[in-house]
Amino acid sequence: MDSPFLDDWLFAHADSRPEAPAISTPVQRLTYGDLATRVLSLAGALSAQGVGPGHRVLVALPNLPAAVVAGLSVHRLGGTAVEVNREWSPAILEGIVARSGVRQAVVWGRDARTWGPLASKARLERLWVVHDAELPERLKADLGATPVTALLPDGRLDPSAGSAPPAARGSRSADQPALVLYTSGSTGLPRGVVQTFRNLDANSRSIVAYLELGAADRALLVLPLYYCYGRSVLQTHLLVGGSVHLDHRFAYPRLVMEALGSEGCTGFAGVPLSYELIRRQVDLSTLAFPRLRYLTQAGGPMAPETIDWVRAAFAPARLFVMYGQTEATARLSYLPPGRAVEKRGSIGVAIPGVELAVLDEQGRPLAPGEVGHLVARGDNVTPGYLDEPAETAAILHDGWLWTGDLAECDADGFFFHRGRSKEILKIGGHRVSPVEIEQVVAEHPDVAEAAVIGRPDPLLGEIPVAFVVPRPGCQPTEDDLKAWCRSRMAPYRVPGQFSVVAALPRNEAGKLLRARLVEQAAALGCGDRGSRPPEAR
Amino acid sequence: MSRDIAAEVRDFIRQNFYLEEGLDLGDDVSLVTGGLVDSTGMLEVIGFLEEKFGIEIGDQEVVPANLDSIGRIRDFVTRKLDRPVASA
Repeated sequence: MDSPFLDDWLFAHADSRPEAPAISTPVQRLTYGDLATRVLSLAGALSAQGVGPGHRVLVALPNLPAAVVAGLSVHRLGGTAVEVNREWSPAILEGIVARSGVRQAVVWGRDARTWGPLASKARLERLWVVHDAELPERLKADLGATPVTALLPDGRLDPSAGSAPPAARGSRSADQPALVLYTSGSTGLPRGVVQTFRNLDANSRSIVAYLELGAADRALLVLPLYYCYGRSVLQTHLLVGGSVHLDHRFAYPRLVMEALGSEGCTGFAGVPLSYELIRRQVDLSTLAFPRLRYLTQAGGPMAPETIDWVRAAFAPARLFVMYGQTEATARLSYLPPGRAVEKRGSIGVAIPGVELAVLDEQGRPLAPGEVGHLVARGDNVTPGYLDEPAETAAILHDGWLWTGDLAECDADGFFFHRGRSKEILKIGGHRVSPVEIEQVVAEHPDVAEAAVIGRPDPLLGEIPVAFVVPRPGCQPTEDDLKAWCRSRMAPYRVPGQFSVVAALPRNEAGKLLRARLVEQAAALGCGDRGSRPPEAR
Repeated sequence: MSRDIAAEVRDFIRQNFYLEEGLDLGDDVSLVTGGLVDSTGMLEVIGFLEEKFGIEIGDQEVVPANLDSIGRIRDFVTRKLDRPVASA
């Protein structure tokens, strides 16, 4: 399969093995033939509504076959799928719609109350609305005046919508944007990371090589498809003609672990939180995973004892500890399971096709054992952030991606993560800018200024903790502040603890001394946990 | 004296998850598929039930049939406590 285009992979498998399983959920099963038919049908309908080469279409769906069909249909037409978390606040979604220039969006029916007003304000040309049945009148009313086409969760057009002639494949090049995925930067709103067809192709081939994936492989996916890690699981299996079982029931980890066995899955992908929840909630000794061959872990460092537990609990299946970021499509390094004991704590070696290096501040290579900036190059590196040249220039220099992570390399070429060079929190696998949270907290009428830092958390890796300076005469309570944040940001971003202080520690130049706050937070001990990331759903 | 299990659970979920005023949290509303509670949230609900009602919840009991709505939680806790339903 030489083509760099995902939809070509799909149609090649649909031609050669139409009955082979492609995508399933606890209630739906699609073969490659089914998936190809649905992609042709939706691409035809999108084309009839004006979507073509170079157009951007927003997708805001839970993990359903319809989400897979939507992305592939947009690719088929030579367009770009802008994939977002449907649970983001209306304000963030509105900002993304405005800045990405999308004219149409594929959304979840239950989010009608968000998308009706937003589509009308942004003057979207059409909403493609995924719902279990015919759209109820109340839902239609919530969607407002924007034209609507109904889709079913399995990716079919609602039969009442009629059908459009199949669309011709749009013209496109490998260096054209295929996806825009969002990630937190060090300032303000989430930034759109552009991923070209070449990026997706290169990274998928690298991952397929080291995981040794083939057509018999079947992954269980609980990670969202708008997240680069979840996306990479889908893309690698499409490349080899394997299948993906989408399971949204991770609130009941035992059910998902039962499916891992009963669905004959050969692989499972998790972030540290996924494995923590399984460890705490599921007695694996009562379950069997007859076909399970491997597990993968990425999305932030996992505690060494949890790594040991996963290796023992799922043996003989092998655990691949991995490292990467959205700016590198998904993956940059992996720890070969055979070296896991010897290289405990390592993020491994560069994946095939990628070069990693550790540089000093001036960009000079450092010797083994010296801690510096981790940089990467390869065909998987993004051309940059969507319409943000300054932010792009800050991460791409001389063909290298500056990851924002600190690392050292040992004499054998194994890399060890040594923290971050940027002020970014990593909460349950999400990168979150403390500045974004600070801005929201500081908007509270009783708050003069706010600072947010991360505190280690056994479940989530890190949780945000806020320090708040009240306005004169005001006494904001922790409950007030939490409720304020809760209504304005995704739940996992809401600080787990608020400390009211008289002043924030600053240096002579007025720069916030975050390290001082980190010490204070450690001294305060653990408060209650208010952060709940969606990535383990 | 009988306890209103459903009301206690509803209060906990409303407060802990900062649900909007006026949001329907009837006995049959699905907590997980309705998007009100996610995987770590369910861990908190289980912790609350164990502490508040003095019961132990095994991993095989963490299934939608027992926990996916206020009504199911009430029935489940009632069975665990081995006493009649406190409120309908």
